[in-house]
Amino acid sequence: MTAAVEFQNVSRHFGPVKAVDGVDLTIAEGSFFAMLGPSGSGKTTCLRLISGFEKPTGGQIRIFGEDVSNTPPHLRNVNTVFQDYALFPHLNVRDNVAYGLMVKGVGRSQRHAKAEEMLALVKLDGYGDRKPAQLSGGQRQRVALARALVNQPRVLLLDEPLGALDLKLREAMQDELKALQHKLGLTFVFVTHDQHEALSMADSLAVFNEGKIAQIGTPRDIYDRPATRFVADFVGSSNVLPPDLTRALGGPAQWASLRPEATRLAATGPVSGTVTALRYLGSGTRVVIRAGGTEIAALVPAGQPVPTEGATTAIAFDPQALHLMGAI
Amino acid sequence: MNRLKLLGTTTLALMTGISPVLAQVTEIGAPEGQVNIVAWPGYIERGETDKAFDWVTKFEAASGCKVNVKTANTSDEMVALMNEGGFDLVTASGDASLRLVAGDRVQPINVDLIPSWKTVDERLQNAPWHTVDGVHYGVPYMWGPNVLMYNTEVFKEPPTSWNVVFEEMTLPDGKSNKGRVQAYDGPIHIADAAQYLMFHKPELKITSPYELNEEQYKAALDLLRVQRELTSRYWHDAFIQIDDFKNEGVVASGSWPFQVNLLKADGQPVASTIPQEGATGWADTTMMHVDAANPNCSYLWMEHSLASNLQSDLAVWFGANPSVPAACTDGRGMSTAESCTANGMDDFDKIRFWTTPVSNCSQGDGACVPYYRWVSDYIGVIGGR
Amino acid sequence: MTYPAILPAKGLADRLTGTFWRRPGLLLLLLIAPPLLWLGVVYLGSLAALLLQSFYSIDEFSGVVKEEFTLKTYAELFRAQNLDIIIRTVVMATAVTLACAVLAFPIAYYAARYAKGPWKAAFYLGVMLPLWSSYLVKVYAWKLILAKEGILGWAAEGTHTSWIIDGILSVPFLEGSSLSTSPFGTFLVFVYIWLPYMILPMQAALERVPNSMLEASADLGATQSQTFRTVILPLALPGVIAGSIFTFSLTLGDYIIPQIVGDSSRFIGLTVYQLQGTAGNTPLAAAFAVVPILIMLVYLSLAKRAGAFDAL
Repeated sequence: MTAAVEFQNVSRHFGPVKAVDGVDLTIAEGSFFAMLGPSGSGKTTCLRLISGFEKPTGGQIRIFGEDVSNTPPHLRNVNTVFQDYALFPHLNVRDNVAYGLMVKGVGRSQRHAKAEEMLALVKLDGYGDRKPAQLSGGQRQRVALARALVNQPRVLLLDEPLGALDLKLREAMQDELKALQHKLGLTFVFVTHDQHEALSMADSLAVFNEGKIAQIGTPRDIYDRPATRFVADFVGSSNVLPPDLTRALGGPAQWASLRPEATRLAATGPVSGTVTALRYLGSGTRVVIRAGGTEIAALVPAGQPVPTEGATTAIAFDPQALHLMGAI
Repeated sequence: MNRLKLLGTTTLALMTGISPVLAQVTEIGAPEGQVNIVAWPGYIERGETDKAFDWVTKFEAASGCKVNVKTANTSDEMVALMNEGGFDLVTASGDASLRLVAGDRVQPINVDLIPSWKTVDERLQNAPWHTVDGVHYGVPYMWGPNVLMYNTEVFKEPPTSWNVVFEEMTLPDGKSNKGRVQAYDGPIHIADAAQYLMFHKPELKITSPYELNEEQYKAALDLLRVQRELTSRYWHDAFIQIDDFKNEGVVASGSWPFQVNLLKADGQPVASTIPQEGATGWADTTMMHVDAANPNCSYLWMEHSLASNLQSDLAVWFGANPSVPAACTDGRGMSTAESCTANGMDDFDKIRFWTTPVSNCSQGDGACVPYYRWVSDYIGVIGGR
Repeated sequence: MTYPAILPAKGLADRLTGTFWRRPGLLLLLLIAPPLLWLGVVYLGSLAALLLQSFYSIDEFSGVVKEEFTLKTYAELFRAQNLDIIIRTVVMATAVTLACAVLAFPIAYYAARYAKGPWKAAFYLGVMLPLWSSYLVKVYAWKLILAKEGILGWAAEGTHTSWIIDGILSVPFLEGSSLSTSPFGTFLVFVYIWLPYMILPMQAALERVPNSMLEASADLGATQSQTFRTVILPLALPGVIAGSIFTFSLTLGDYIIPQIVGDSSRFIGLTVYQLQGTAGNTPLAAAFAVVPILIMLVYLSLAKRAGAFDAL
């Protein structure tokens, strides 16, 4: 199977700023791939390198095996759903969706029929005559999606597609996007800074940090076995243990991560500290203990005794849950 | 609106021959301390533009009347200012003076109170643009001819006819005059064409270039249409014409001594002449407002305007001619017999002075084409119609 | 110690602020009343007076204005020489507007999409600077540049390109002894003088087009010229229209430039000035002054029909 998108040592430097620096990446055809990272980490630049809005300053990009380093955006068979949707305000919804066909010279009736088909796909039948300004945020998002799909791209790029929606709508759209991807069998590449979104939607994801990929893997890989302290910090709610604490807990002198649900409270143990915060979550209570200079969170399941704030308690854990990782 | 009403009244008054005779001043009392004058730019100088040209300072010291000047750029502006009131005197041109008389804006002048009146050029003393039914409505100020200015490198001999600007021809330098001559950008220029026809087409029986019947008028317009082909641009601003003679290759045009003198002073090869057909010209008059608040200072100024260095120095300054011939020769100012000759002093008889054309003229009531038609038709001619 | 729930008003300002808070319409009324009065009385009033005048006529015999309703004065507009003036002015205004739009677009586009920091400041300075110097000085300067023995003629001679100028001057309707006496010279000066009024609104409109809109167009397969025609132009159109309203109406009304540069042929503004100022034919002057108003109304309705304001 050919890779949908392949990066070989790709860099994009803006003067002294290394927005993307020596990235190697393979996105499998038909996968739902997420690029996750804080702002400025290079994930959006990577997406723009795929769409062609940025040219790499080094390395090679292939789409379905073809080198696209010198191909302008309008000749690449990939389409983008923009963060601000970028709908054309002077065109109605139907013409927005049909735009990609219009510039290719498809006749009016044919492109309008196709546009209606796409609008039905995103459940916006009957909205063709409206102007974008007359739509809600979620509806605009669907129009943007329909518009990007009308050209039948081989790869669909989504730049923070759900960022502007409220929580409930966002969750509904997550499911819908996932279903749509299944139905169409396309490769979806989407950029997000929301780790929950990335973990819940993607088949695999890349975590970006300072222009480089910190880790690539399935959501489970990344959540359970973060490769570096940065990934653990950014992706999960895991406890990040400095080397001396890891050793005090019986491990080697290395950075390690420990998930709160694998952390328990005990009467005695090698490490103890003061309870500084309690948060009731319904399914349990999150207890934060300050031990040395580090805050460690533990999840106390419902029904078990919860200490009071200021109390002293020791920490225990399942040794298999302790995951060692790199320093950066 | 006032202006229109005034124009209407003017025409009406001219039509019926009514002229109001008002009480005039019989003696000059104590000076009021000031006098307010509406004047053309450059007409009343107190040495501020050029130290050598000052005919106000001494008057103020001697009479105790402070001179306040409001300059106006067109005859219409002058009429409007006089209608508003608040002024004592105005230096009105021939196309404004009769309007002011007919509109009751100015009062008769008692020439007995102006000792120097007798020194005024006799030909100006009873000029029709300020004298109505034998009553004087002002004191002549300055006059000047509209001369033919030409380039001395092209014309070794002064041109003898206005035909160089009216008809296509080969000039002495062997090149056509097309695109190298100019004409005045004002409807009054129709009178220049009429004057040319007066000489060359006597069968039209033109007696005055300002009184044209339909047939005469049409002939003048036809001549001007020929001129349109020769003229690349018409002039209305003296400094634009000066520039055109310097930079646009213009070699002949109707002009004022003012431009001729400035160009000569600049070392340009120009001279002026009054060709055989004669020339049109302008004459200004100092007139006194009917409600003048400062009549005594006004009379003192009118006397001053004739008796002092004013006539002599202003003639040099403005390139015009004094209304007092002695000012050319008696050494009261900078004028000399030569400078007066250069400004056209000797050509008085060849000059037909500007007056506003009205429909009731010497050819009969309603026989002549009135000024407003001159305006619209001249627009047509310049636009190529 | 307890604190009151309502603080005492300290003075007039507090009480006024309170009044305005309780009745928001009052403040608005106070703020817009003076300009509305100004607009209503001074502007609309004089416009009405103008319209009224245009329905009077001048008595052919005496030259006095007859204050009776008639359409005679409007009929006079259709006399050949007057129709000439209207057509000449409209053609000139159209040509000037088109030239300004073509020239302004790349400048505005660069300023809106590429210029940053000091370059942006330099752009504003460059565009605004000519507006700070006297209009008359600029026009006189152009007269000298375009004169037969002026800078342009001199440069053309030096580079053996005089044939270009001669070529322009031999085109029918553009004839003249030099650029400064040709209608083409008038056109050049108009374009120069009004160009900033086209650049600024255009730049403002282009600045409001998000970059992602252009990327979306390219992403969907549009070439650069397709993007220009189907996205940039429609979105910038309100700015272009705003600019063209400036250049078009300013050219329609100007009466200075044709006096200084050109072949002395009359334009509407100059005609109004002359008819009103020296001929006393206020009705015809008023009728002429109504023409640009009508032309602008037609122009705006055409622009609206063409969808110029859809992106507003």
